[in-house]
Amino acid sequence: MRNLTIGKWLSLASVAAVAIALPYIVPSFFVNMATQMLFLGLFALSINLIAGYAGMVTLGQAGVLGIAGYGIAIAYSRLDFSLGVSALLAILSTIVVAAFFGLLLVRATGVYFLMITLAQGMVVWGVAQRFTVLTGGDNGLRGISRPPFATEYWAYYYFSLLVVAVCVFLIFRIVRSPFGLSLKGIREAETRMPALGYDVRRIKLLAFVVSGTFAGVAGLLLVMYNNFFSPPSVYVKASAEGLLMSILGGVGTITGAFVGSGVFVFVTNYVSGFIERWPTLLGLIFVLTILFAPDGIVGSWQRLVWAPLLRRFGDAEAAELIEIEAGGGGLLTGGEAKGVRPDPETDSVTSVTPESTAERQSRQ
Amino acid sequence: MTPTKEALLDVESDRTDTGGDDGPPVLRLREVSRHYGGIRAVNEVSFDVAQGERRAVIGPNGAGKTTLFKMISREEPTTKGSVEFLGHDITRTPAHRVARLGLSRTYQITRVFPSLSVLENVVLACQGLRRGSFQMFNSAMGRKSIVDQAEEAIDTVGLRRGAKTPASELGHGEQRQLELGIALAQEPKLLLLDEPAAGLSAAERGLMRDLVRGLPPEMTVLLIEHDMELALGLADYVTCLHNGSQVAEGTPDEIRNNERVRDIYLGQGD
Ligand SMILES: Nc1ncnc2c1ncn2[C@@H]1O[C@H](COP(=O)(O)OP(=O)(O)OP(=O)(O)O)[C@@H](O)[C@H]1O
Ligand SMILES: [Mg+2]
Repeated sequence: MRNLTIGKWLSLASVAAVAIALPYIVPSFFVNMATQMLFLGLFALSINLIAGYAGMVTLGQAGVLGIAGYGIAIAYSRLDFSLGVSALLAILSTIVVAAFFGLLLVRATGVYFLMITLAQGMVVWGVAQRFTVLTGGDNGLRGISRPPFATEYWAYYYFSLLVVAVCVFLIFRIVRSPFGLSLKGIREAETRMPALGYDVRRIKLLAFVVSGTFAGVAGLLLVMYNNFFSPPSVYVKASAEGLLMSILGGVGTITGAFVGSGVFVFVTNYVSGFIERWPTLLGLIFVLTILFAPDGIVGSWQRLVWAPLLRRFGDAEAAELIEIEAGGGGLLTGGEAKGVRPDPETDSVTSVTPESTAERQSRQ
Repeated sequence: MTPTKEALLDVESDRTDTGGDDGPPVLRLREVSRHYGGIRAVNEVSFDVAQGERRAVIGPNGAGKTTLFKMISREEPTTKGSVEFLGHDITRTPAHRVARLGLSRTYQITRVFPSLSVLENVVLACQGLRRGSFQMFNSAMGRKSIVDQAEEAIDTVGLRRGAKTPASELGHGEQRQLELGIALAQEPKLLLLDEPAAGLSAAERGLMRDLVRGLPPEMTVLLIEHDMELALGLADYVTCLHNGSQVAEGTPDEIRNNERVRDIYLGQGD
């Protein structure tokens, strides 16, 4: 137990130290990559919040991000609001749109749910393409600036680091809160939730709004980073990439989103300079992850490296906790599927001998 | 002994003769029916359950017992008829509201939260009935009164306190205990148990029987059970369903000696 806490604080401290020292130790190219990793990671994390924690896989989150992106771009460059006011308006409109799509989404499950999330992305993309007076169509919108105190590449990196750190802290609290536990309940056994007193639709709606807000913040950071926003940023491909990042890193984990976005940014920005077929490489990485490490990089790391290490130092309880956490995602490995349940068709169950019950209890 | 008149189905008359029912019934079913296309899964079932009563619902496979429970907990709409709980007509009330009125249930097929720990499973149950399940910035496992309530329920059903084990790693018997713990933690006024002993070994069945026996006397319990002896041993009153219809109602003794019940059970060799 103590080892686990110490280990966690040590990792957090070293990550923070590296993050703060980064602009002093690597050239601007890599600092910019880190900035991208931060806001794409936040985007992946916003998907993870509903896909990984609540078990609702979405393919339309880039549409939500796009509302914030277009929101700030339009408010700033077309309507001449200040950058701060534009950002605020952008987030507010993101919340409204996320709630609107949420109202449709809470009524659907399974394939229909997935279709609506797709539609959500397509609608925003379609409007962005056609409503050229506001959005500039294919040409996109230019002329959005970074905050005056963060125009330099390193300053913008620190600015993103601060914003993302605050968001991560909030999400960290949210997934451990009563609301977060309700989300996990929906992921694990949605059909039981109403009988326990939960208004599942309301919880989901709130989840879409909260997750959408974080996607919106990621969108703001993205626009200000590029000084540009155009339809590809809201297209289904962008949504799918976000989902894949969170799977790659490990669904249901917070660090996973950033590991996933890190790999993604590394391949698209760096490896692409050497390997022409980098999209194939990216695809291969995703396929291999899903086949051989369904818990993602972080999940597998915890299971294969962390847990055995803790066991070695005689902290079996901490090791077990880590393993539970690693398997906590349940997007690919499946919440309900993973459980020991009888076949619903036959109701047949293998009965447990009384010894095994007693044994387990004494072991614990 | 021959079956008494009262033991046979009589949907028209309200039952007034069971011991200790003062005040209105906790549950009142009036011609409750559920049809799936042409299948009459439940057909015009009516009975009252008084406060503190232990009533068993028995019947062979496919009799409609589970479907009846789903209509009481409002997880399934009623095709016809009405359900009253504590004097409220809940025929159209959403399931989560009914739960908040004080109704909890367990499932025939275990429906725990597999990758959550035992404690989290039960905390989730406790928090569902309280204000604050939308709170985002405090810790779910740090709300002391809820965690205490949950640990008490875990104790009651004989699982280990503070259990960090994920539910999926429990054996089947323990999962059934947890299944009951989740419902009990809510301190319901009416508890619906759908075959709590399903798939348990003989020894575990005994444990489950003792757990049900030990429930607080003021709690009203409706119990589905395949095993006649177990059911009759626990209940004050028994309703027997067959092909969706209520074929008999009475005390365990009356049911034991009811010819139709005997026919039904002997007929299918159970
Ligand atoms: N969703 C459904 N659609 C169609 N038919 C259904 C549905 N649910 C139940 N039925 C049918 O309704 C009838 C009653 O089913 P129910 O599950 O209530 O029986 P039961 O008494 O609980 O049986 P068991 O003892 O096997 O649990 C069965 O014939 C079943 O096939
Ligand atoms: Mg049943």
